Amino acid sequence: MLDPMGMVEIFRTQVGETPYSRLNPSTKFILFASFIALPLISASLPIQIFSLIAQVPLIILSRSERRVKRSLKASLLFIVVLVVLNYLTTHSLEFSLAMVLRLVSMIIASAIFMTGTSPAEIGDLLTKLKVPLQITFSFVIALRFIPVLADDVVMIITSQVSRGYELERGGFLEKVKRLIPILIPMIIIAIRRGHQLAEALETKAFGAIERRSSYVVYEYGRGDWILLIYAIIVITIGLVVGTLTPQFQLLPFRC
Amino acid sequence: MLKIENVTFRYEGSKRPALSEVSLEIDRGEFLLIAGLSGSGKSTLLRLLNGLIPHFYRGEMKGRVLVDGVDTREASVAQLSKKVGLVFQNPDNQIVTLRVDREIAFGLENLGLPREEIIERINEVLKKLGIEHLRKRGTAELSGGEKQLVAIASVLAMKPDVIVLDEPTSELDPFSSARIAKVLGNLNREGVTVVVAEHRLDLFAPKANRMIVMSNGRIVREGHPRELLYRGDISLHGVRPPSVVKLARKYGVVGAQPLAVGELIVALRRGVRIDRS
Amino acid sequence: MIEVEGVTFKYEGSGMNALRDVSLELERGKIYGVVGPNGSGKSTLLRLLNGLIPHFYRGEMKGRVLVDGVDTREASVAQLSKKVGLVFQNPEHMFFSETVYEEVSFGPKSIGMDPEEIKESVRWALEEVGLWELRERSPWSLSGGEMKRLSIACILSMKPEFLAVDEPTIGQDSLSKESLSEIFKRMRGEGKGVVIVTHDLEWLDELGPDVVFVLRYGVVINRGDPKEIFSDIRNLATNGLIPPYRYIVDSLLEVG
Repeated sequence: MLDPMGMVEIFRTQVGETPYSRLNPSTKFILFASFIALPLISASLPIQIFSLIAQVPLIILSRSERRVKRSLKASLLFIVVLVVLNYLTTHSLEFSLAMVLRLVSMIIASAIFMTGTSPAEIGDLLTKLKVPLQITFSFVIALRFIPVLADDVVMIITSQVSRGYELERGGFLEKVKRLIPILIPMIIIAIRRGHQLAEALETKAFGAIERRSSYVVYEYGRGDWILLIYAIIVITIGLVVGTLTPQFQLLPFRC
Repeated sequence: MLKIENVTFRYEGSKRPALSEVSLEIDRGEFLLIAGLSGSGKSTLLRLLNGLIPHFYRGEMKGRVLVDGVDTREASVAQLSKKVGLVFQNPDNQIVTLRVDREIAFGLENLGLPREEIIERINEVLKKLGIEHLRKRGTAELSGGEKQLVAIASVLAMKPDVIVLDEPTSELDPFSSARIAKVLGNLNREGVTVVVAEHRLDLFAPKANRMIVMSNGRIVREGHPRELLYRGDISLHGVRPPSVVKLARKYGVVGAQPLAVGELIVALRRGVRIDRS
Repeated sequence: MIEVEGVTFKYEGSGMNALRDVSLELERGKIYGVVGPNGSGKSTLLRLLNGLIPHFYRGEMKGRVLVDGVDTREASVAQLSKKVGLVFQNPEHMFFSETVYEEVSFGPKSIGMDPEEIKESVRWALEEVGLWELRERSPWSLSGGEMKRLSIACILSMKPEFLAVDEPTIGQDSLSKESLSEIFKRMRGEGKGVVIVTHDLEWLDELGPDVVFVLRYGVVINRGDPKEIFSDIRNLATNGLIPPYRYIVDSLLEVG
């Protein structure tokens, strides 16, 4: 059976109040970028171990252990495949391990960023990175409407099930045909919502002037400075260690 | 202040006009209640007031609408938004941001107001509607009633001369509906001009000082709510007098035309003839 | 008969029970009003009646629901829909056909009624709600009130013996509310059990239910004769409900 409630929950993950979440979004983005860059400095094992350890304070600050665990679990198969492929082509256990840790490092960096950064902040970041308003705004609107549309989907499916509709019956073609009672109301409702939204935007003078003003201003606090310095130190150490430790040769399989 | 002059409007693709030869004037400080069955033309009338018709909806329009003497065809919806604020029926489809304070800021940012002024207006409007506690809440986690209050706040923050609402309580429970009616009544007392299309006459008639009844795209009755609701013939247009009116009749209240429960009680206690069967 | 026996239900991921030890019996030929503030468990109760809970919504369920003696856990929602028809709050969530007629025949087809019977029951359902004349129209071209009635016809055509309706009057004008009352009363007259979840006590009072259940925090805190329940205006108000005006007036007059 379908699991509509589970579907909705995925979109309902809330950003909790943590020391990390309170940081300036730019700081969070710089930290994220740093820890994506760090494992890429060199393919050597010490660098990978270092970038893992250096992220521990961030995991604690963002209380993202659960998200990290979940993300790693989700990519387990990929990780295993990577080890096997690397080992088969290089026969170097150390190298394969380094490649895996590099991937793990990057997964952790993303998990921390996604746990501690609200969608609205990501929208603001995009604006700051000079992404056009139309795009950043579409992003925010999409996030705003995902839970609404997810609720619609639940209501549509339960409405049809209550009319004796069974989704999982018959062969493939039959199944595709069976999606019609779900898809059509979904599309029509989404269009209607979109239309009313456009009306509301018009009413609120959206796009009336070239330069909108901005209500939200992010300030840099002490925590931001500390973590920015931390990022600089980590990257510097990474560069030093990276040039001192022996490099692996370029090999057919890397990540 | 707002003037609709002999407007007939037909939506593109529709055979019959949604509005036929409608004329209406709305003055500053009024609380105008628009009653009528679904499809009687209420929403179309409201869309005329802020220029959504003819700018957003295509169709054939005769006559004209003047907002402070300016023909709505000559002004953009954005320009008109500073004069006429429109709140829609479904709060879910008009909230565009993820947090309450940002939602209220949204229209103001679009107008390019400086940040200090935006903050000031947010504070002011949250206080006015008694929803200061919602300031930092996510818009998705609000109840229907709270969402509608936020939608009203976000329009109010743009300081329009008139706030126009299209069935603001139709998706809400009775408690939230009563709250919306109360909030609008208070705003009107503070000088805000309110125009509201509603089915809940029991809640809104006591607040209004003028009422029109629409039927088949025409204004068929106009007057004070007391006058209209105590005259039986609005039933012809599908509009039913609220329960308080029915009860006043049942109890044989004479010499008073109560619209709110409180008024009815007062009238009954004053010893007007009570015939309890 | 529907028997809800000591049901406690908690949605997955929720910290609170949506229903707590709810027991009630619903018979044919009666109208039941289920009232309560937002989040009191009214909609959860409806979902229980046709098996959406526990088949569709995941969670922890204790107790059981018997529809004509059959435990809802032992039957599929499709099977149960022949006995208990659930009408949702927003009709737009169900329409996908080109014509009103096709829309109404979807349910009967899904539950495997034979073609002759489908013809008959679709006509009957559309006539019951007064939409037979509009059968060739598109569901999406109807007015709000007509859509509401169409959604009822879509369920009626499956010939359920119980009709469970979620907030029928939301967004409806006074004329539409009147015609809904007439439909539900006629259903009762035809021997169907009608369960109506609503906030709108004013309308419910005019409809005249046989029994009213008051829900709060997932518990049935009051049940019985509507007159008795509506007269206790203090109790209703403290439970987040607005009593019908005539009861407010009566009780305020008595106090004075």
